[in-house]
Amino acid sequence: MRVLRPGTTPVNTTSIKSVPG
Amino acid sequence: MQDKNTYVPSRFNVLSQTDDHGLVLYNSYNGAICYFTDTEKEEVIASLKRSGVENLSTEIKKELFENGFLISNRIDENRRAQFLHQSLHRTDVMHLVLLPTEACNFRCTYCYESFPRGKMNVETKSGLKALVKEKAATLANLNISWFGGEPLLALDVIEELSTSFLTTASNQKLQYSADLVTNGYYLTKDVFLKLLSWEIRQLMITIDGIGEVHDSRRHLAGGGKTFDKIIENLKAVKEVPGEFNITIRVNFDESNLQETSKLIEFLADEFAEDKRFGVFFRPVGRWGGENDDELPVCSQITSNRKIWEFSDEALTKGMSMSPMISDSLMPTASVCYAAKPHSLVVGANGQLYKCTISMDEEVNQVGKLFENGSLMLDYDKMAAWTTSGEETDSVCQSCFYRPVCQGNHCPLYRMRTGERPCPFEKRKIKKVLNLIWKNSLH
Repeated sequence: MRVLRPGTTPVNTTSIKSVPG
Repeated sequence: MQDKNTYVPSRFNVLSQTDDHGLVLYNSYNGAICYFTDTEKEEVIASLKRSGVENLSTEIKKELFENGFLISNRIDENRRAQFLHQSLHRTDVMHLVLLPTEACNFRCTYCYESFPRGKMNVETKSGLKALVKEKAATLANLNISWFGGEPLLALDVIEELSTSFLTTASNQKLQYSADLVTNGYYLTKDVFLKLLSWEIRQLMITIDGIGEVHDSRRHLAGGGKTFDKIIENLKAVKEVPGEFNITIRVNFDESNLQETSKLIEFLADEFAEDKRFGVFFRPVGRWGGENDDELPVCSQITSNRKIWEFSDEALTKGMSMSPMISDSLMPTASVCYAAKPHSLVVGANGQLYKCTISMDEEVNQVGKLFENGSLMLDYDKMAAWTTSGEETDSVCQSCFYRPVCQGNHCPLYRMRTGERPCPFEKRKIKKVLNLIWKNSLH
């Protein structure tokens, strides 16, 4: 197994925003 | 008894095959993405059967549990999603989309903006500085998006406000980030270095084709060419050391669809070796511009297919995919800023909006920022933007992608059409996961 991205406790920061465009 | 199994698969899992017959697993509640080889695949699939497993007796089962793909059977995932949705109301984050000017030196054929006014006035600049100073005491994160108009026409406004924001952020020890959308015409190396000094490290620039293909769609207000200048600027930016990310956006429709492969080849020749540059393909849409009726937009089926075909082609040629794609798969990341309670768009005259597209619509004119930093807000209008998603849509509530977009990827689309605004990534999630895996091999 290879972790491409670890999981996070999903409140606001990764281990997050939408922007124009 | 099967339902007594201790561990069950998360309802937010997605499995996708990779080109090398391996497996990519993704969980939309925690954002984890893991790759399993061809030889591990069989056990992974067996461990994720709906009836669950009794214990974590093998290495793979442990890994599946640690990364959130297997969860305790006592967990109520609907409540998890509900709580996540409520967390959008936390008050220690603020995202401001600022229009330092509403003017633009371009007149792109498909643009939906109307350029009603120029640079941000003194009262609004003062108001923003005061607002950020006042809020900073209770903020953990301040995110600024520079938009417009063409923001680089108002570099002095960006400088004045950024300097103030950065001082406040430093004094209050809050995390600050900034991004900027520009047409790239004024993005010289000197300007870029200034942007970096103001912590603007995420930029989006649009290139629609090579030479004339681009120039016929994205020209100056007087009709002049822009392609050569933008490319010259991007080549100079590439020479700058440091951490930043440039998303090269390509807007496609029926008129440049056939030319896009040539553009991908061109971009790969110029930028493939620099991972700070990534591509991002999107279909042209009818968003309220004056040429809407004449736009040769692609059908939804073509759009959904070509976005990822072009991305795949770019990856094969060695280009990186914009991190915006994988970032948008994080929980809450595809909830539009218009739907987030602590986001506001601030116009050059202090007018407040939620959405950056429908500036002229009554429901989007949600208030006013005053010189002393105080806000006058119409909470009925605010509510229209922030409560139109998963709260009322039972299909969204039961969707595997719920934590990511919460039914609110584009509240405007839902208001205008009454239809569900599913993100492009969700519609082709298996393909996207394969591309993210492919991107990770670079």
